[in-house]
Amino acid sequence: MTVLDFSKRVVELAMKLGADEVDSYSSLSKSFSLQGTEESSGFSDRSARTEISRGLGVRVVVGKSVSYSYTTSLDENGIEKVVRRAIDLARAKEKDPEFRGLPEPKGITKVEGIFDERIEDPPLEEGVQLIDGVLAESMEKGLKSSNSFLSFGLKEVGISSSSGIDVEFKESFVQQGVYLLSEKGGVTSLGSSFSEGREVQLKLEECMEEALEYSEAGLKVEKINGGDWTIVFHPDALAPLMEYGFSQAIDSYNVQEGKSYLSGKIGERVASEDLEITDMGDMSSGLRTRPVDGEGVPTRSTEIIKDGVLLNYLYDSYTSAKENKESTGNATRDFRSPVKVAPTNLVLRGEESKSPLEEIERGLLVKGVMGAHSTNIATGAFSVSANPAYLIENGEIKGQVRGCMIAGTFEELLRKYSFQGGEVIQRGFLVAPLVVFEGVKVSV
Amino acid sequence: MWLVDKGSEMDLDFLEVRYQRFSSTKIEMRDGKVFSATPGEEEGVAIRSLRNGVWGFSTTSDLDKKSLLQALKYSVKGAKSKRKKREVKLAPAPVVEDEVRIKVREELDEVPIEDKISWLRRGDEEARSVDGVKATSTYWDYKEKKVVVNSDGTFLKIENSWIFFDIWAYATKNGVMQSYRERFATLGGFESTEKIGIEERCRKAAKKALELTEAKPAPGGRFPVVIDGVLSGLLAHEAVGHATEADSVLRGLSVLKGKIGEKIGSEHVTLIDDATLGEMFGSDKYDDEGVQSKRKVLIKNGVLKSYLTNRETSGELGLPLTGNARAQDYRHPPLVRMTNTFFKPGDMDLDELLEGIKRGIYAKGGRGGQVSPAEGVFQFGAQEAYVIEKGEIGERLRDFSMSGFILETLKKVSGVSKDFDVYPSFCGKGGQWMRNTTGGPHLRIEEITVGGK
Repeated sequence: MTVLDFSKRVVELAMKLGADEVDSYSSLSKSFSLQGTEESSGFSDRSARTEISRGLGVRVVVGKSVSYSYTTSLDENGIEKVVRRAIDLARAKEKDPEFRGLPEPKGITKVEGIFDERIEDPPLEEGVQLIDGVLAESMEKGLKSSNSFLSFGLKEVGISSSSGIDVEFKESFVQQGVYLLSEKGGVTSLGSSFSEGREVQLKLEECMEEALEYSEAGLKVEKINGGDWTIVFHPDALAPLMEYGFSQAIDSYNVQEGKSYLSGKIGERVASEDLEITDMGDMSSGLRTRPVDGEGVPTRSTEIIKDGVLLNYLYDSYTSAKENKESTGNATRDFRSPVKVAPTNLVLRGEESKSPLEEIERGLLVKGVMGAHSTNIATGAFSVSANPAYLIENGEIKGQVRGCMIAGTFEELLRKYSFQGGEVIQRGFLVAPLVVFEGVKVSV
Repeated sequence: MWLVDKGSEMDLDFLEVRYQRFSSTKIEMRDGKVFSATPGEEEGVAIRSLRNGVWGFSTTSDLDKKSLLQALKYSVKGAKSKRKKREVKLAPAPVVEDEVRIKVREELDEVPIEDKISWLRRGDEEARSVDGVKATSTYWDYKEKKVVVNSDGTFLKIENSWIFFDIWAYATKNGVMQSYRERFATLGGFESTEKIGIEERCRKAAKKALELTEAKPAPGGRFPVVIDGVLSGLLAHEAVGHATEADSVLRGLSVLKGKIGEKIGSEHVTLIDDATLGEMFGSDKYDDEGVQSKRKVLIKNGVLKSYLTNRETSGELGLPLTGNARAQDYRHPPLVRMTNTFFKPGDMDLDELLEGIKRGIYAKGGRGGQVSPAEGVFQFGAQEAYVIEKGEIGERLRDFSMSGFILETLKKVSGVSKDFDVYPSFCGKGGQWMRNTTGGPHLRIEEITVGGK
């Protein structure tokens, strides 16, 4: 049986057992990962990991009452149990007068580059050699510790609903990275580089090169004073900040409940007029690109901010129906979780520069932040430790800056956007190159 | 068991099979409305094998015999892959045959979900009875059966269950919105909801959120701070605890490497990790390698005494086996993790800690934190903060967070109170979430960096 067959069976059974409406999300995930560590005093470790995970989730509607359940037992018995549990729960739960029905079939979006067939037979042997190569090179170069990993993932998804949605698609994921620690004269410096993509392509050598550059740059420590700084955010740092400070704020659930600082601000200027943010569910090769969202609604592109003005929030079928709008195709779901709203590929655009670092007279390059999850999601107030961070003077990295904190609100930060440039990469949902903000408060 | 027998034919140095079945219900309520109520069931097996120093791990939720054999083959293939050979010295662990069953009065899977919803509603209504307050609350329960079998002969059957509750209250006043979180979690059955005092906690969250709307943004810079037990727990966990995890130490990714026996903090600093504390959220009788848990003094009066270990790191480092190998569930291999981690209380009162501080900050309640043990840098956020002026608590502040260096900060702890507070949480490491508790007394830190305006 394919994953879609499981979902179809759930729909058929639920309708027979008395559900008014039903949809089901089934998935099969497989992954193969390799990892290795070398440490200068002689410790080394190697591991290989395989994961196979199958499961199905069901959402049933009985008289305007909606409920969910899930299971990993996919035999007939398991399926009947999960369907009955969901129906019993829907009967026991209160009605939701605002529920307008599950989405109707609207076809699928033609998307490219989300599945690479080579994932079925990944180059594990070559991966082992590359990891060992990275580790050996690290030890030759006298680094303190080196860690490298490579992971191949494949996911098959099947979504079926009583309204007539039947969709099946496959995705591939390749993640790889190098994490180095060097030490010189009592100063430790961390250099890391990661790559995440859909294509089966080994990039550990490139990761190694970049990680080495950062770990070497950090061996010199520079002291700075607190105050207003020009900050260049690497996507590694901006992605977690945006996840807690921005994506929650454009989630229509939070907006409708008044739990977002962007509630009621459609049409208002909320960011620098150079900034444009688009959620591109249909982006070619995007890490979160799919033909449909978690409830089978075709994905699309939604302009969130253009010329600094807030244009849209992100919706699923439930929140959009409340405002008599169409869903933006941002329902996210796995078999264990209910439908929620999340960005897909959030693309940042604005004033472009080929090499943004060269244009910085004096500023900080922030490669990572710690504590993004302590951001106040309702107000967008954040106060994070910038780590690793580097001082830039006259376009060059001077050395590492330790122990500084960046604070403010996301509302302010969006207005401080200046320009961006360099290689565009994706971290989580964020698709961006280096992004420059002016006048950000730094404490030391 | 037959998997371990099968594995014994495969020329391995070690094999471990962990079977797990769990049921779980998560309910999210948003302003009085059940946003989602999701009961679910999962079952799976984790197989870990070791040969010539290479670990193979495989996990599957497909439990027919063919799939299990396939999973075993994957794990063994991983362990036998052609890679650099090394010797792994697994610390010898007593072979255990035991059945552990948590005592509960009301089994979580026998309580109707309606009862769980109405319990959560009591809190939601209480929070929203406070002026203009909105609320998002979560009830989450989990009941598991676990079997751990290994090639040494250990055979463990464990039945456990827990509940978790969390509310975010949002208040808006004069155009300013603020939020405050209350949380409670414990091992046990549904009867444990009685000891949460849900109404009181939710009312507190609502009132605090409302009070915060009148607070001023925290200043940035370096200040002396006094932190409450919840925050000192975060410090115990983030700043120090993670760096004592021996897998990080062994990989050269902890600033505490090579520092056992050294004075790394002031005499006020005594740090303990203890998984034997009854129903406390991080407790377990055995870890996921089948090693019995215990109480460990990691730092005593400022001197580093021990690391937290699993069998591999204990063997490699020649340190006592502490029973800290924990895995989120069958999908993950065990890592070295904390359990219930806290600073030991001292003998001072809060007033004594505040005394003599000309201008500083008093911070309370945790908003989460993060650490990079390799560099020794940590950050954590507080829910509430106040200016300390001439030893007195003054004006209210918001959006407070602080960051520091582990080794510098521990030396700057200049006072510890006699009170004690704990906070349950889920800690993330290596892509796995783990239940634990953090706690401690009030602490005074002479100087630390505060992020702010």
